[in-house]
Amino acid sequence: MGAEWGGLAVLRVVCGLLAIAFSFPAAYLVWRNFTSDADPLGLLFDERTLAPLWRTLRLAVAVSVSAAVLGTAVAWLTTRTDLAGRSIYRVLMPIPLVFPTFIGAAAFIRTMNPGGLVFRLFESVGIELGIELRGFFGSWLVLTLFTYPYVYLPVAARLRRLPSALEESARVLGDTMSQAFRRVVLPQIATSIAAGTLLVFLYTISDFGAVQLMRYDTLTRAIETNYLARPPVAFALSLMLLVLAAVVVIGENAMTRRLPADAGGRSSRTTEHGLGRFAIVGHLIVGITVVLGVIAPVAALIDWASGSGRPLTVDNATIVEASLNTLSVSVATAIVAVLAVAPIAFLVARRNDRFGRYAHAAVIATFALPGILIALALRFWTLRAGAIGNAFADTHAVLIFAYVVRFASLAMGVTLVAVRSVPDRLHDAASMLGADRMRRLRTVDLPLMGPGLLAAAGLVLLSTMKELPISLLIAPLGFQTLTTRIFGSFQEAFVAEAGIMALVLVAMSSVLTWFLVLRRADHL
Amino acid sequence: MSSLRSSDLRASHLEVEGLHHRYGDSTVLHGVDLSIDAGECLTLLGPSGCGKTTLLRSIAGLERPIAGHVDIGGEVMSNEPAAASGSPASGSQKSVWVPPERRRIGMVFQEWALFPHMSVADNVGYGLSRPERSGPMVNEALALVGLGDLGDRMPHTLSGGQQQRVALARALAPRPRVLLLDEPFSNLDTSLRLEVRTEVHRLLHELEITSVFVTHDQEEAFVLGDRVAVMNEGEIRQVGTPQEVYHRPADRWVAEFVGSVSVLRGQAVGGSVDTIVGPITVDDALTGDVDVVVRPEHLALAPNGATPAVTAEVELVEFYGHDAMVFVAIDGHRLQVRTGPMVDVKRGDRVGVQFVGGAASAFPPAPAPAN
Repeated sequence: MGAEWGGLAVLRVVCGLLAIAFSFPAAYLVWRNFTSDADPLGLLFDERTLAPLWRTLRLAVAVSVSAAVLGTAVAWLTTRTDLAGRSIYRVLMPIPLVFPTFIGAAAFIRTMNPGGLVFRLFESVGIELGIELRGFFGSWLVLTLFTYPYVYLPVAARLRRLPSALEESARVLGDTMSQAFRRVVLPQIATSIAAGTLLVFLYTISDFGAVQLMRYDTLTRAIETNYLARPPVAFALSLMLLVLAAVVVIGENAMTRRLPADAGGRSSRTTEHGLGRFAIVGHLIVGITVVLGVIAPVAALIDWASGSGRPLTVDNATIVEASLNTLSVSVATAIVAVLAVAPIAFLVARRNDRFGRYAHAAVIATFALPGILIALALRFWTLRAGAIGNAFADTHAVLIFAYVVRFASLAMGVTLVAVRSVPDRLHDAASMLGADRMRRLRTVDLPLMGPGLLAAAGLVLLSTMKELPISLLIAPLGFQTLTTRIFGSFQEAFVAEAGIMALVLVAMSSVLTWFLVLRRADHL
Repeated sequence: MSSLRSSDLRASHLEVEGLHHRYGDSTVLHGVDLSIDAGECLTLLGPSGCGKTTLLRSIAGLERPIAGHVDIGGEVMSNEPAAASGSPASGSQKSVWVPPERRRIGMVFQEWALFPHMSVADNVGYGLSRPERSGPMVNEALALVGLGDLGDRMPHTLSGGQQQRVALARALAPRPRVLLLDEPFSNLDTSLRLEVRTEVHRLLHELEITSVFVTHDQEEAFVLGDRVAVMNEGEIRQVGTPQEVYHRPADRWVAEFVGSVSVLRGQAVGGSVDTIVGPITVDDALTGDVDVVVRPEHLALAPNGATPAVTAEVELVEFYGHDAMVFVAIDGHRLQVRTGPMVDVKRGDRVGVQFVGGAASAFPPAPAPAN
């Protein structure tokens, strides 16, 4: 027992350090706000910070509302109605998740510019397309199209499980179909809608790539423009963003607590409402979503990759190098992230230990922390922290640390489930049969937790591959990932390489998404 | 016949002294003493939450008691000197703790706890050394429980009864000194449970292994136990053979927990109590108001024509097949009478009731009568 207590002490120290590490970037930003020589309060209420804040809020609210409505509508249409082809739609609807939003934005912008696919289509019938997809509308459209699956997935899963008897009882008690939806179904899926919408909101306020390409000055874009020339402004903007994320998460928590608890049960039979003459409306909603969110970006990428009719200049070495860089740094991040959350999950699940719970809270909180803030904090810390900072500046270590802080929260939940999936009685049984701690870990824990840990690593891997702002700001000089290459190429010129790399990235992300997200969508 | 037999198992005696245990603020064991002979099967009987599982896990080493002494075959497994008052009789003042994996105790868990990612053979071989695993010991243990040909199967492909037997084989394979069983039949349905119970009963006798069997089922405790220890609220209320516990309960709680009783209030005078069903012989040391507890089989419906001690009204008849229970009321007192399978009374009948036992247990009256 003495050795066991020694082990517990070590674990607690490890978890304490992890909690500090995960809280560091946000804490550093707050601290810098009040130690830079500029007037922090003045800057917070300055036009340069309030205008981007206002634009961020406007965009986030608009995208959240449209994604919530679209996601819920599509989920209901594909799970609760007799819409023809709904089983195919169910497979297609989550696909937009595989596109990093900046690639989606790039595809949309490109395809409507001179030389782009849509532009050429119009040109062939003699129309010069003069619309440029930019600003608020462009950002709103792209972010809605590529984030609604965050609402669709949990709501569809919830609707599939919702016992039909609830709705049928309401109908028997005299409700019309729409009354029953509003009074019975909607309250039952409200928590799923709220959870999905929160993700959309957080995604939108932290998005950098799409708004940058759409030239819509939100907080993230303003931070990027200011961080070199006017650091105090960038810090003030960061604080705004940080507070906004925190307020939204806390607000959502408070609101969800007031929503009714979900009725349990998996229903074997769900009602399928006959759409009748409204079927055409259903097909329009789902069909347009598929065309804009799946077919259009894929077609645009293929057209882009094939040079859009212009002579191809493809440097294979660049593509291979960027792919390998992305893969190696993502795999490293995934491994480090799982190693970081494992001791926390162990302390929380096995011991319900206080230190474990603190560290768990610190990790979970980072899911709301926009990547650009982590990048900014670490960038400035390495500049200011003297010898230690110099040692770390421009290294892979800082890059991986930033990724881990950004994405370890994704691994946390799955890892907790994995640790909990090994019941205490199996440990007891192994002890009684003479197995010591190491043998129990090797023969019981690891084999049983393996698949869960792998899934946790996969989720981190998937997100790291698609990550843009951290990669842009703190990747070591000359270390180009797929996302930074694609993003750079898009801004410089429309080279076919970028299109090919975008396809490579989307393909890799599709495979991982299929294994990790869609196959498990029922459990969301 | 398998080659794993009693001579392979060095059955050891088990001593438990002054065991105290606590979870947070609630004390779950209050100084438990137990002594189990080599080769004996002791059943621990008690309602849920009485501490019987905690006692078993303390013996196993899965719980660390705050005070007390556990000894197997003369080897100290754990010793915690009592903090303040009264040290255990033979316990030294030195704290001793042998972790569960070094106690050589076999244990069968309530949910069996088979390793889901290992085959049946790998499960059974888990407690054996590497060379032993490739030898005949795994198959011997499987043959012992009648599963010789299922070694390659995965646990989830087996029926509940088969999984239960794998758990037993796994516990027995390393030749433990003591076997602990924690309600091992509770996950089986009734008919299977009786079948498995008889098998385990036979096996425990053939192997002559020292065993402690936890159950909340009185019949299971009586069938399997050479002796029964009745527990309540962290204390052992009575230890004895099943017959002793049933016929001479140590206190009123034990009497009512173990089997059905009717309680008759009366005055004890000179070893006899005059009750509503007539005089009943009790311990002659008792005087004054007492509650006499009477087993249903010690009451009988008076045959037609005989002079009944008292007449009662039949309230309910429950027919069980091999016998029946008649619930009767006399002046508002409810009594349970066991009858043979040819019961011919029905609700509303008036019947005679008489006491047919030799003597009965009596206790000072409880504040509120149980029925």
